[in-house]
Amino acid sequence: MISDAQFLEQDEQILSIFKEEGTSLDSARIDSGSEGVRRDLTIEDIRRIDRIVQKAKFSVVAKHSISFLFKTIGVGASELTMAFIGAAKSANLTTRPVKTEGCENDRADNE
Amino acid sequence: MDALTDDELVARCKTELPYDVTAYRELLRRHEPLVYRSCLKMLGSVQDAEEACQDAFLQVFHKIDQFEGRSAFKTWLYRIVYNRCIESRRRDARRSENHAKLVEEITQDEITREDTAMKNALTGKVHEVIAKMNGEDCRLVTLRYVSGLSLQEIADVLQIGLSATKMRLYRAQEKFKEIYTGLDTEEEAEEA
Repeated sequence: MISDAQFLEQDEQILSIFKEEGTSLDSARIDSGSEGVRRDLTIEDIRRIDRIVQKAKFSVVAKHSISFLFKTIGVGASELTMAFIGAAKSANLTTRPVKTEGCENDRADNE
Repeated sequence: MDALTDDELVARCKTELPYDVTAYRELLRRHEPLVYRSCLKMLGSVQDAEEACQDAFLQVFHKIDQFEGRSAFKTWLYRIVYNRCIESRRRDARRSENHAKLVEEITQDEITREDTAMKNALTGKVHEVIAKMNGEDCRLVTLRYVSGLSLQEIADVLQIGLSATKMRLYRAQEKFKEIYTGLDTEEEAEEA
């Protein structure tokens, strides 16, 4: 089992190595620690942040577009099906009298 | 925005996203640079680090509703980042297995060019030491000394007990010191 003193001593040593040799930003972060601290951002940081925000916005738009597309396809497909059903029904209605007429003619010919 | 705490910003994000990104942008300004640098140390590649960092923050954007506030936002964020980095490492390992033959075909020129680009972004003895550590030790040291998380926060991120975290971190510290001292000796030998 490691004692707290042992751990803290080692922790302190490594922390000082990071402060001495790590980048200034890294060591500043360890010191500040608390949230809400105003930090100087580099241009590269700002660019990366902008890219993330743009990507997040785009992902929302893409998500909505895809769901809209699927909804549209769904509505289109169901309307198309209804149209086919309607067409089939009306085709049945229009073909039936013709058949009857044909049958009657056949019957008349036979007579 | 500066005066608001992380929790207040999260609360604003929950009500304002995805229409208004002001609070989200502020969270990014506060945490992204450090998260990015942590990813850089954990993954050792600028491209992978940027990708992992972006993925983590996109996950925050889409899943902030699911954050219940049982832990600090920072802990929740680093848990996402930590998992992303592990995932990225695994993916890389698979990719390198699958493309072992392809890698062999890459000319020495290309390797040298990539190395130079990476060296420009990742310099310093500390980075050299971290790069030589194994995955778990590397991540622990990064969380503690680059991300600046406390022992309790690391325990929360890893979702293990405090004493287990202390034990693991202690071992990682030992490893760090060992490699660091080794580098010193190498340098001295070179100078001599």
